[in-house]
Amino acid sequence: MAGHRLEIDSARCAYGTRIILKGAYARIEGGEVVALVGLNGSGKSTLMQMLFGTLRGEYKHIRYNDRPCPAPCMQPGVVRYLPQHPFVPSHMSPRSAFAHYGADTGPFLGDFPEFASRMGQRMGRFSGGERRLIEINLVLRSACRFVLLDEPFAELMPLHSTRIRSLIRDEARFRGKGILLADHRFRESLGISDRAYVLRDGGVTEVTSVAGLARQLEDNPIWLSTGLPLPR
Amino acid sequence: MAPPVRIYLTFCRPFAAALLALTGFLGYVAWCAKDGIWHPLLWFKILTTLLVVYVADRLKHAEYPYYANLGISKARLWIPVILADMLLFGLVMTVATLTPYVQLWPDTD
Repeated sequence: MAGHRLEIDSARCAYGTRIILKGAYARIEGGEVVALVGLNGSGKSTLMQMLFGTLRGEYKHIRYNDRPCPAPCMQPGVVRYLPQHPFVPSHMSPRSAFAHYGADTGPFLGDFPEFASRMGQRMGRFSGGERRLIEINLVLRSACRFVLLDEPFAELMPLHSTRIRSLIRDEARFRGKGILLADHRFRESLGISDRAYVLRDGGVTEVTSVAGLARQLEDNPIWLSTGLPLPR
Repeated sequence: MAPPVRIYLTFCRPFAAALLALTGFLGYVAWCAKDGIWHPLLWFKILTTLLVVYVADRLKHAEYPYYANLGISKARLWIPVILADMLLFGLVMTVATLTPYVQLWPDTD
């Protein structure tokens, strides 16, 4: 799956009079993990939804392998999206959801055997963290070329968060998936990323020095809201 | 990947009972009533279906990414469901109006 590319260019979106994105550009290549960093309300989820194809915005141009692709989600096997909120219908069971997505439950149960006896249980009966864990695995383990993860580590306990980080790296490195990852826990997300995009004032800046960005954020997280230059 | 029919059944499972009950009730009214009942019942069906769709849409808003991940847009979810419901309504109404009314219980007079 390596060698594939998904790009969004000139993305513009506003909610009422508030401009969220003005001419944003982002690119994901197969086999890499890209972090999306920004303050609350900076447009991370908006950019992801526009790239996924469910949010039109005012203007955008999406390319898949250098060919125009207005809605990547409508192309079979191209992209999966994990939204911030629970999205699997509450009346469904994990077993049914994995079947719908064509994902094998074996590797999931190998990593999380505590779910083995509960795969037929309705999603609404799981705790928030358990539900999040199931949904992350559902999206990451299904056959696709790109995965967009919006706040994947939210509600996860540290042990599961570590396991999910390994899973993200494995899916990129060994299955060639391109993964775009947005999370406020910048240590977790930047620690496994090859590149990063910083959203600030409606624009997107690429940062290849992920370690430098992590140090900047460690020293002063509020620095994201200032006009100070970014490490390249 | 699951066949699309299973996915549509998953989608409409929470509100299918309401739509089917409504169609069944209107079919019963058409069966009991005299001629000329089609027109008001059809409008009643349209308006109540729109209400069910509106409420279901608001309640299921968070689930649309589940289906978008499978390449099914919101429009592709709702259009077949509404069409199937209206076709079923038409079939039930046709059978109800063609079937002679039979009094099921005696008059209390």
